[in-house]
Amino acid sequence: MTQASKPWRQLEWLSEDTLLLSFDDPLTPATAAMLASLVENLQRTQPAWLWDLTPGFGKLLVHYRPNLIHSAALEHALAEALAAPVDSLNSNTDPALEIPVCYDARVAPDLEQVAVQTGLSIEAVIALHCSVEYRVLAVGFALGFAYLGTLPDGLRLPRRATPRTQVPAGSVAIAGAQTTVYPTDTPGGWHIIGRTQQPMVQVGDTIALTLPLGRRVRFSAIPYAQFQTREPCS
Amino acid sequence: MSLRILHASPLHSLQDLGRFGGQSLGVTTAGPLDVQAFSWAQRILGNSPDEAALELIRGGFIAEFMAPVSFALTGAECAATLSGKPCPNWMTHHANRGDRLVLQSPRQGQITYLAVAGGWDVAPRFGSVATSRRDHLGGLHGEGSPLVAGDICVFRAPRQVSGGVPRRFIPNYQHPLTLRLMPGYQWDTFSPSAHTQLLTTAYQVGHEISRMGYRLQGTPLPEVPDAGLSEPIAFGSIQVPPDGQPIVLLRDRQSLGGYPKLGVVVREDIGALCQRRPGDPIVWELADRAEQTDRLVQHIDFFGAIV
Repeated sequence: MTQASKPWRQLEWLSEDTLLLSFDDPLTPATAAMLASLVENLQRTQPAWLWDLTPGFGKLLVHYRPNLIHSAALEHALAEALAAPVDSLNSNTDPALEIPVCYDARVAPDLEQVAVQTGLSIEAVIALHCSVEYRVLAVGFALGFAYLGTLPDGLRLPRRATPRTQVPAGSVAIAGAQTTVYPTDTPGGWHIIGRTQQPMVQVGDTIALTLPLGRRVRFSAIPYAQFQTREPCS
Repeated sequence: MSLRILHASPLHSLQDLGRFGGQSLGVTTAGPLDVQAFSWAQRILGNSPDEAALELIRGGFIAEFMAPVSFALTGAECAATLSGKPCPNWMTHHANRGDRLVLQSPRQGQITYLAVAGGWDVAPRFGSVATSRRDHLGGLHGEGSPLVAGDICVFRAPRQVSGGVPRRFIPNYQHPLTLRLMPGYQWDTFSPSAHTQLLTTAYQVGHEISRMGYRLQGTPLPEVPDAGLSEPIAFGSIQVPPDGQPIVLLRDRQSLGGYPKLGVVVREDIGALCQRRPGDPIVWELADRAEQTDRLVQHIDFFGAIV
C-alpha cells in the first residue's frame, strides 16, 4: 500500500457525509483481506469523525461527521489507516473455518440441475465445491449474508431465472463466481446445493458473524444422517 | 408513566436517529424517514436529539396518556385531537392522565412524529431503538415489530415544557417538490439524453413507496446501463433498475446493491420527498456537494446531531 501517493484507485465524495473508496481487483481474496484490515483498523481506533463503514466488493463507503473533519484531513486519516500494519488483525491470522455441509437432495433442491448444467456428476460438483479455500469478499444484502469467492470455474452458472420466494436459513448456494450460506430465511435466486446447521449470525450483546468480511472458509461434506443429528440452527 | 396504544397500523414504528456502526455486517440503519420533522419534535420538547419518537405513517392512531407529560406532533397534520380538543402540530401540548390522543388520516404529507418530553424508556439494541423489520431489531420489544394496539410506551423522565417551531420553518408538503441530486456513482455512464430527460421532464411519486425506497415515475430513462458488481449504497442513493424508473433508497435500504445509480439526493430533500404522496409532482435539479455539506454542518450545529 506504499507504492503510490494514493493507496486507492478512486476516491469519490458522494454525499454530504459519505465518500466512496474504490480499489483495484475487487473480486480477489487479497483485496477482501485488505478491506477487512482497513475496516478493522478504523473500528478499533474509532476516530471521532467516523460514523459507519460499508465495505463492498473492492469498495468502502465511509460515513463520516462533516462537522468534525475537513476533506483533506479525512483523506489523510484514511491513507494512514490503510498504511497501518495488518499482521495482528484477526481476519488475516485466523485459520480457515470449516463448515460442514450436507449435500443431500433432500436439502439441496438444485444439486441435480447444477450437475446437468455444468456437465458434471453430482459427486464431482460436491468435490469441486469442497476443493478450494474461499474468502468472504463482501457482506451485505441481508444481515450476515456473505459473498464467498472464488468458485472453481467448472461450477459457475448464472442465477436461477426465477428467484425462490423463500430460501431456508443455512442453505448453501452458488451463483456466478461466488458461493454463500443464507443466514436467514429470505427470498433468493442462487442455486441451492446443500445445507448446513451452523448458524451464520449470533445476536447477543453484540452481533457476531460466522462469516465476516475477509474470513477464510472451507466446506466439507457430511452425510444426511449426521446432518439430522446436529443441533438445528436458530 | 406511559402512553397506552389503542389503535395503530403496521406502518407505525418506534424510531431514533438510527443504528450506526453495523453496516459492515449488513445491519440496516433504520431511523426516521423525515429527519427534519423528527428533529424539530425533539428540539421543541428540550430533548436530546437522539431521543426516540413514534413514526406514524398515514395517521390512524389512537392512544391514551396514563400519566401527565408534555408532547409534540410534527410532520404531517392528522387533525389530531387531545380528548376532543384540537391539537395542532409543530408545538408542545400538555396531556393529563386519561387524555386520549386521536390522529385521523393526514390532510397533507404522509408521516407524523409523536415525541414526549424526557423521551421514551426503551432498551436499545446495539446502540439504538430504531425499528428494523428486516433485521428483527429495535422497537418497543427489541425484535423489530411495528407498534400495535395494547403496546405500552413508557416515559423515561416526563416533564412539562412549552415551545414551538417558528412559522418560517414549518414546511408545506403540498408545494411542488424540486429534488436536488449530487451526481455520482454511475452518473457518467448514463447517456447525455438520459441526463437531459431526468432534468427536464416531469416525474411523480410512484405507488411503490416504503421505508426501503420511494419509486418515482416518469418517461423511462433511455439506455440504462447494465447492473454491475454490488456496491455500498448511501442514504438517498438514486438507483435505476432496467425499467428506467428511478428509486430513491431510504432508511431500510439494503447495504449493497448492483443497479446503476445516478447519485445521491440532497439530505434536506429526502424527508420532503418522503412526505409526498403517490402522484405528487417532482422535478430534478443538480446540486453542488460542497455547498450541501456546509448546509448539513449548519443543521448539525443547530439540531446537535446528523440530520
